[in-house]
Amino acid sequence: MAGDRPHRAPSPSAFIACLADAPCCAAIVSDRHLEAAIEGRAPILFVLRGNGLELGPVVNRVHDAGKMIAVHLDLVAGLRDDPVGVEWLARYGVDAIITSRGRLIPLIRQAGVVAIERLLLSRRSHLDAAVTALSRSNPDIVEVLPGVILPSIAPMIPRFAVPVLAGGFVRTPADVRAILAAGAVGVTTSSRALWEFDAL
Amino acid sequence: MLSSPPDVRLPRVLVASSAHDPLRLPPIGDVGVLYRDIDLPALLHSALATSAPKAVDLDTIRGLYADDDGVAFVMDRLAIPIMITRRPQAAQRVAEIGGLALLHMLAFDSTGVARALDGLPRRLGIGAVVSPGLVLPHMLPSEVRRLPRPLLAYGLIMEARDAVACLSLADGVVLGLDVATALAPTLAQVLRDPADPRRNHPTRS
Repeated sequence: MAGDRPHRAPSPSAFIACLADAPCCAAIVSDRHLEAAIEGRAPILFVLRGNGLELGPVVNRVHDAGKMIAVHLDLVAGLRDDPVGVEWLARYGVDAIITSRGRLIPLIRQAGVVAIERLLLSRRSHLDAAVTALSRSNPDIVEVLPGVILPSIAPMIPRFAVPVLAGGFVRTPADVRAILAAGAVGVTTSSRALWEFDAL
Repeated sequence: MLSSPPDVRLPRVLVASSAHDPLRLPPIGDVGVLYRDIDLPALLHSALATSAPKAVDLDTIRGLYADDDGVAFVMDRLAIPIMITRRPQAAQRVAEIGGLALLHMLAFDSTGVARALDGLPRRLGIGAVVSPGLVLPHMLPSEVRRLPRPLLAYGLIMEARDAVACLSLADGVVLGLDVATALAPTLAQVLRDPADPRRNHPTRS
């Protein structure tokens, strides 16, 4: 398998630190996105589509560009969202694994990879249960979706003990600024113009 | 564009209820009840005791399965003609027997919405629900135009400005009882406004 170069995944704090200047992570939903993201300023690529069984060349290219790569285990094709799927991605040398399955978070952390749990917001009555579940699974990072509404719902959710990313319908610099002001450390977006967003 | 079947109209405001006893609805005007997260016997009790317009989130009713018999029971025995479901087959059945089905779309990001829209059935009697409804004002006009009508914004709408923004784009909104009660004066005024596009045309088509 490719991605077999020696690679040590970053610590969660190192992963987050690279967002200080460029807080927009590139959400990759096609091959075209991948090329543009590798050339662009986004420090972390979030791979949300593609063949999870053949990620080695992608992982190597991203690392060669001096960037980090997070892969969504639930969304890439070919992999089951189970412990072996986690192990597969970890062996590829990905820096982070994203999932909505809280039961996988401890396994991701044990594999030495940054664990990102997605918090999908749909109804107020689901919020408490979701937040309780997050406290049990104990991810390194929480990604809130749809991120564009984070400024509106931030007063309703408790402050997380871990860093928060926000993704979904984030399209403008004003969206990014509002999300960062609401407490997020970064955003994930497929809007290519935002990949050049400068926090300074 | 497609719309509701002629005999079924979607209220502009649906107040969510999981209660066994009928709700005391706030004075909004064009308001109804959305039953969700409730046991089947409690739904039976409350629906039969409620004269307000009624809708049900079919997939959340404990004890009820969203198949043909479940749909027929809700329509015929409970007299609830508006049903929200994630199951296209159930939505088709609701439409076939003269009800209004609202297919539930989870709108967490633009990529997911685009894929969901590609798979939606398009026919008279099947509209859409966007969850969380609060995201609707953040969607592109081109995305909103692709959504089937009638369109319901459902979830995390708690401020007056958000409710009004959603009502300007959707045919209805779902609110919790506390929020609907607090916003009742504002919403009643908005729905009386002659500029409200649905004031005289309850279901946009």
